[in-house]
Amino acid sequence: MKVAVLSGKGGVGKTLVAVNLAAAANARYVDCDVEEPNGHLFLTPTEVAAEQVTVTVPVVAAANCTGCRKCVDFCRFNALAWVDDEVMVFEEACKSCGGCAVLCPSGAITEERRVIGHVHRGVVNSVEAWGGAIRPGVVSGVPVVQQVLRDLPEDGLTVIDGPPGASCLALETARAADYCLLVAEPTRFGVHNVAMIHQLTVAVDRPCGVVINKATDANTSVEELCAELGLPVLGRIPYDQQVALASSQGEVLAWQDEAQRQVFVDILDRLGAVIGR
Amino acid sequence: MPLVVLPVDGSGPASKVSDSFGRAEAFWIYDTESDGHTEQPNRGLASPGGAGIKAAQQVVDAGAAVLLAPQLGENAAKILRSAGIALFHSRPGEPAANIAAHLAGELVPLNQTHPGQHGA
Repeated sequence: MKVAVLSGKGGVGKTLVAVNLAAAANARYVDCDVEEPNGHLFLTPTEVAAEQVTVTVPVVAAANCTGCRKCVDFCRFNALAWVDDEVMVFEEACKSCGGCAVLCPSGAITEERRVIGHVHRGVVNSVEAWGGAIRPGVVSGVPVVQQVLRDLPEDGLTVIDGPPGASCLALETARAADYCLLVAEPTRFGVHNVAMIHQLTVAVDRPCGVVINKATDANTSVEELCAELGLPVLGRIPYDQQVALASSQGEVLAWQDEAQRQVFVDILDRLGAVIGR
Repeated sequence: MPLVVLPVDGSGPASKVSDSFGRAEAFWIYDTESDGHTEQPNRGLASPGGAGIKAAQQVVDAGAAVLLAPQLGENAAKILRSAGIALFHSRPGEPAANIAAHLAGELVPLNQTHPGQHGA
């Protein structure tokens, strides 16, 4: 079972929830927030195996180019332009389809690899901690997310710490999961974000439930939205300054304190109930 | 035939300079010799990505000598500059008023670019 922890924005507690669910269940933790991975601050694995993530991009040998423009007209990602009697390549727009190299009648285009990030796998206590990160300056982390998720085992529980928002990265993450757990703050902004990310899970046809973080009794607007959308509320993590303090020091709550651990065990139990286990 | 090009939204007399280059609805192409203009739909508009690149290619292929735009992404600017197209800041409003301002030498060169929207 793969559970993706998502939210409409950053800073609502995705990593808090994902790390502690994995820790409470001795599950596999996978950090797919490849633009700003921070799960390693809590789950710092040892014996890490890392591998590079590469993409291919076209390289044009100007001497062989006849200026037919077939490559430029073909590229649906607009990664190529014909200017000043030369093909100009925009690597960040390229999706590595390789079509231009196949199509070039004069064999002027070859493909070269570029390293855009890495994925790593390690273990901390009994939790397998995986993750990926893009290199600074790289525009799209999608190939990194795909490589992290490609080799995920089917056995046991895997908790995927998703990227914030409803971007391509979040879409890839949701698509790889069996269930989506949406984390939200009890604010108007939180309501808007749940509504937005819920649409994404509907688009990829994934069931989902909600965990409310920094919950107080003063604002029940997220619960009201969940009732409206028919989404189960699988947990409420009460607002607690000690939780914020412990998190800021990189502590895993589920390993520090039995009462805190129980909060996440309860979420896991309700999750098990809604997914029929 | 020196051509002056602007990204516009709308068509005909209702055209207004577009806030975006890559996502403009059309290009207003003014011919300084004939004092006439043509309009071309922006082929970059519907692109999922690289709209500025596609749009810049279209402006280059149209044979533009000058582009007037409110702002440009770095990829589009790279293409336009490589093609030797002079870049100036446009003013909000009608393309004809911008062309008049350009011909009177009132528009400021566009030297800075933004890093691009990249589908955001």
